Amino acid sequence: MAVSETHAPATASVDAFGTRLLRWMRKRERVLLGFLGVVSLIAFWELAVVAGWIRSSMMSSPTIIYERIITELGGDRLLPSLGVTLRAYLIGLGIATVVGIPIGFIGGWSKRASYLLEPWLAALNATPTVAIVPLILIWLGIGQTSKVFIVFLFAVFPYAFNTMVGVRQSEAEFLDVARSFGATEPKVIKSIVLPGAVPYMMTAARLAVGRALIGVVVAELVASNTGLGFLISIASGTFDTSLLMVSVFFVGVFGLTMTEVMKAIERQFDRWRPEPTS
Amino acid sequence: MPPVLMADAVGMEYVHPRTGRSVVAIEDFSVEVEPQQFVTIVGPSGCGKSTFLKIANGLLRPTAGSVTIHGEDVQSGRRSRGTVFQDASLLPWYTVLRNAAYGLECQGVRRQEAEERARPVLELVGLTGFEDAHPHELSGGMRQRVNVARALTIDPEILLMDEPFASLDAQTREFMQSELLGIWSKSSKTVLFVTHQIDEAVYLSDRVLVMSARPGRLIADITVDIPRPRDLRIKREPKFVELVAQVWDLLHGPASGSLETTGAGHGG
Amino acid sequence: MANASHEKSSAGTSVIADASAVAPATGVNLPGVRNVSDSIWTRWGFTDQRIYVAASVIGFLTLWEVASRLGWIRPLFFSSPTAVFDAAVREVTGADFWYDLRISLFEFSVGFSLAIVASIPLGLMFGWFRRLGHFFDPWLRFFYATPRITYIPLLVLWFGLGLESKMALVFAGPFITILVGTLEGVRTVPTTYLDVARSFGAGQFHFFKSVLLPTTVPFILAAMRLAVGIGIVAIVLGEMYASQAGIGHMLMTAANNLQADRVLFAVLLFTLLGVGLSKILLAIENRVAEWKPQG
Repeated sequence: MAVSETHAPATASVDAFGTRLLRWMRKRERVLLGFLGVVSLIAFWELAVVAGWIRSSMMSSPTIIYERIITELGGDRLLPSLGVTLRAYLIGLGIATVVGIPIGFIGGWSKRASYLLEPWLAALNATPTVAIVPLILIWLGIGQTSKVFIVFLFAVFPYAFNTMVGVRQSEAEFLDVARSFGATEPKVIKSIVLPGAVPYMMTAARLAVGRALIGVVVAELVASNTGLGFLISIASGTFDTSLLMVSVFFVGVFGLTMTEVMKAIERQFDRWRPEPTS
Repeated sequence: MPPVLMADAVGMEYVHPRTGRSVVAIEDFSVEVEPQQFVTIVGPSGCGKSTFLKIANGLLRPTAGSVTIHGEDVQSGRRSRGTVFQDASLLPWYTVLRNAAYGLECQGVRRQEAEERARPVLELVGLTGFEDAHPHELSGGMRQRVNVARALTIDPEILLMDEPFASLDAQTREFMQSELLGIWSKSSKTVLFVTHQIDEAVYLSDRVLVMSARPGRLIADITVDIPRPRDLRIKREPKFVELVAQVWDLLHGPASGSLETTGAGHGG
Repeated sequence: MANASHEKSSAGTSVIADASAVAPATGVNLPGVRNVSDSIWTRWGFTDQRIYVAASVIGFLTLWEVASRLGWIRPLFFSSPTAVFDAAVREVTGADFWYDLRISLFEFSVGFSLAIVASIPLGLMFGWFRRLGHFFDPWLRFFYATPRITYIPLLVLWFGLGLESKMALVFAGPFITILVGTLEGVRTVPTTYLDVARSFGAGQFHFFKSVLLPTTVPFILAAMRLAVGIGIVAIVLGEMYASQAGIGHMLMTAANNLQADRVLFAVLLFTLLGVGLSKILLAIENRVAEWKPQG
């Protein structure tokens, strides 16, 4: 689309600008379309509520949600609630990481330990942890402890199970190399088993991050009087639709942030392995 | 001069624990490798030559006989041999330099020192400038060079090589053969090489040991008296062709055992 | 976009869904013989493991029972294997249980089937028509990252406490999961296949049928296995906190009455449902994906 020299200078520059704009748009197509998708659906949503197609008691319009967010941010319960949720989330997740990975490692490395551990890990992995929540409430009551424990339970199994698998599948040929050079067991673990298990641990981390979120929300919905989940239950109880949607929105944003953070971390670890190996 | 490696009537028999069925992989295999010699074991696939190399490496315990290096049984703790595997098996999460140093690190040398000692070896195999690359960035031939470097870095008494070029394409393979001879002449190591390609065996070695199909037995010990240094072009010369034919005949002759049953067919 | 296309991660996520999906690595020269070059798995003599596992399970159950009888742990809190068994017998011979079970199964099947029916075509479309996929991308990401349970109050608001809200909840999670999985599956069709089809002059529809669908099916099945877990969580939660019937509701009632044995029985049921469905899907996946080279 070369601009002909014979055009008058004014139109020539407009044409050139148009061309460059088109090319820029084509490169950023994905982002632009996504942006368009968000904007158009929000606009449609707004329209639907305003025009009465959807009752505002069922679903608040975007503008109302936005206004409510501003109000609540200025208020004294949204941010503290976020803080409480974040704290319980991070603590529970942290403990799960620190406990889950070593257990998984032992289960994968030691023959005897795996006999003991594996059936239970597999069974607990398959059990919907949510169903155990009432039991935990019976045992630990309502409060921060049970909340953190619930988050821990939700997050620990991906770590333990995936790490175990990751350790087990240590490539036989690498182990051969190490042994043929006379490596001691700690050396083998440090140089082969652990790095090889890292991709599995990363997958586990990604799963755990998601499950911990479910855990913290469940815990706060039923076993707490603080946090975002609690806000949700209040809003639900008082039929405060806009507050409900605001809370859901914040949980969503929270989840999205954690997911993107995990992906960035995973990309870091993939430096030495750009192609996924089977 | 005393031989570096001595295999004395080595035998390897596998007995299935439950059925009691036995498979004899190697039978009465005796070999002596003199210092700075390049000796190759050639035989059809599955004849037990790789098994023998594993025994020589100390990874497997033979059911009969013994292998000693400089008089010391290979089963004892000392690791004085460097192994070059068929698959480069470079740890993908280490750099080339660290991979080359890995053998030494396994033996307890600190990383810093190991890497320092690995540097000149990398230069020897022609990989200067690639120290900080990761294995996935290298071609097959280059990875095998790191493989060789790793074995050489520990300054072994003998270099054991198990079909290291099997996974390379034909042209790279020939090129690597020539490169290997260059590296070998510069480092003056003793080498025990295993392959199923006859021309590779004759080109590289001072002696070619012909092994039969399972159970693996030594059929012949052929001296290759082609002078060194050897250019790839000697593969066309009559002396070379004659030696290859000689080995071929031995492999397909009555003493070799049926090639069909071992599933050979890789040519050569 | 969710990483369903990353080989390792889809292997990882399917590991979560079903323990039997992990196949032991084999590197044996001869079976049953101790060989240094075996991987960790086979060196252990795989079949011996079953005995140990059985022993470990029986041991644990015995310990639990003994601890309960001797009062080391409070039966009210922890119950015991025999008590759970008794509770199971009581339930199964009663009428309420079967009513609850029917409700739960009904809610789950309707919700899950609707999710499958809706998500697969949409996923195929979003994956095939790239621009369409990009358009909806932010929304998909948002809903994928939000735990389904956050929608419970909303769904109760919209659908009340009856069957519909649970169906909607079971629908929500698997819908997104399978949609994203399908989408990723379509996106990862190697372009070489496309080239082959084009070079033979294949029309779009034919390509779709002969190449795209078969390549995508494993992804869809893997996503479905993942979705089963999510759906189970959804129905458990929905029935526990927003329902007046169903196994989950039974669980809640039992919990409120401190009947740990009934609670555990309900937990067991849900576990069996999840595992059973996973295994069925795994069997289907193995049959359908026979052409795929095994890892």
